[in-house]
Amino acid sequence: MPQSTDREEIYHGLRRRAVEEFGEQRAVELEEFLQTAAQQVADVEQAGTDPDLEPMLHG
Amino acid sequence: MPELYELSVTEAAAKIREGDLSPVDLVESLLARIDALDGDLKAWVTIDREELLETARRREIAAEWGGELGPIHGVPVGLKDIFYTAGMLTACGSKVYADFVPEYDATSVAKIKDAGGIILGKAVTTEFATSDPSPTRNPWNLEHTPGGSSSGSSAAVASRMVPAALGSQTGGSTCRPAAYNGIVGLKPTYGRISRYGVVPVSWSLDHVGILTRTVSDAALMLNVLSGEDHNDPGSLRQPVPDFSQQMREFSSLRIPRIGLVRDYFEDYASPEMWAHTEQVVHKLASAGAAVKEVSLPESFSWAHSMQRIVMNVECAAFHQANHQKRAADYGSRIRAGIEMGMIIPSATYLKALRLRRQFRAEMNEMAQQVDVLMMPATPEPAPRDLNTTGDAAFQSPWTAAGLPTIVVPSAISDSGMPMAVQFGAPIAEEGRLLGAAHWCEQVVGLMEAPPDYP
Repeated sequence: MPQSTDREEIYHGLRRRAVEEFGEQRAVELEEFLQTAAQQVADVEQAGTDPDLEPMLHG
Repeated sequence: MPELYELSVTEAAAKIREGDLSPVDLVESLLARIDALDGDLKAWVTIDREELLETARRREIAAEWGGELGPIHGVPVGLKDIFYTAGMLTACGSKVYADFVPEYDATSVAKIKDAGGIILGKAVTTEFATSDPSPTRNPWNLEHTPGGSSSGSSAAVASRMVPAALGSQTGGSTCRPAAYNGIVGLKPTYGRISRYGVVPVSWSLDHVGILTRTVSDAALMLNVLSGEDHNDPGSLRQPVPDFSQQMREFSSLRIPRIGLVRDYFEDYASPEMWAHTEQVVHKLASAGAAVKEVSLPESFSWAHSMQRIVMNVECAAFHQANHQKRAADYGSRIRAGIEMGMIIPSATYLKALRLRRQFRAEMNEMAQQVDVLMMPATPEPAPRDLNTTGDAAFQSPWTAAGLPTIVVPSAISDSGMPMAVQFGAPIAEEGRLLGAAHWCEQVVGLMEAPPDYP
């Protein structure tokens, strides 16, 4: 399933993963970082790419 | 007659070659300087005085015998404490690596030794070269951050405890502390200097950086350090020119065509910093530079997010095993960064890597419109806050694109802290970058030492 471009949806997805990986308490501590990461993921997912563009594995 | 500790790399190397300076005297002068200042500045973490003086004696004997000497023969260089040094602690500012002693030298360390340089010691880094502040203080004002992550390397060069030091840059970790401390910081093209034996933050973003007090010294150090290395998969496969010669040719034969980048940089800089940048532009134009405005590509709008995602995911990949066992031993910011990297979807990481290819091409195309691009080095001078290393917003896009950049100190702010401008050039055009920066340095003038540490 393609990654959502909706910031709120992304945030909830990241938070769910944080709870699974690190527990609820740590997810609460990470709140500010989760919000920032959600925005970053949304920015990247909203950006258009040429379908033939390959990843740049080295700068 | 300057004190020995005030000599630049170029000056010290020339004097040693001519038999006018003893490497032992130079090292002793720097050690006395460190003894006098480092209680306040906390720039150094490990110095092996016995080994250091023994190496200086060997360099002295070699100089006395004559014959071919390396380009930095007898000159001490500091290393950020993430560079592998055989038999010497490399703790990375970390509890996790507190006892780590590498068995071999990083390629860059070996190149310094091959060129006759002397490793003065290991300078303080923020934890694993990320953003939890280190104990190092800014020599211009102890209440202001020295920046990071190459905090010890920058403060040590600025306060004349060493003429040159190595740093690294994954976001803004060489050029930002250089600006905050009033020194020159060079981040070459991605892969120009091998990262083999440098503890990584993020493989596809990490660069080795150079910290000096003059542009000429940065060029000389780049000559020493550059070159393809089969041990580094990101190593640049291009011939290495003589950067010092290219710098001299450019700055003596050409008047630079400078592209002032407004857009984001004007919006994000403090009014004082932007006004200062315009003053520098005016000075350079008055001296003959051709200045035109250059616009950033649209891809710049997502560049910061792309850079952070790549950095966090690759940082998590490196630290995941230690994080599982010792999460509490990590600082709060690096730990959170690792944890974000662990939960970001892999498809998003790969998309960020795809976007980076596009971003790099567009930034390189923009840079090719002029000789060098110019902008303020930082949004504001070093903040009066020891709980931050400052803002890397003016560096991280260039790091993500892999384009070479250099920071040149240019004035003192109302708060008494250094201000600087940053230049950027197309990929692999360090000669042009250094030449233009050298020309600008001559127009703007060299930065004095911090007033409390003359």
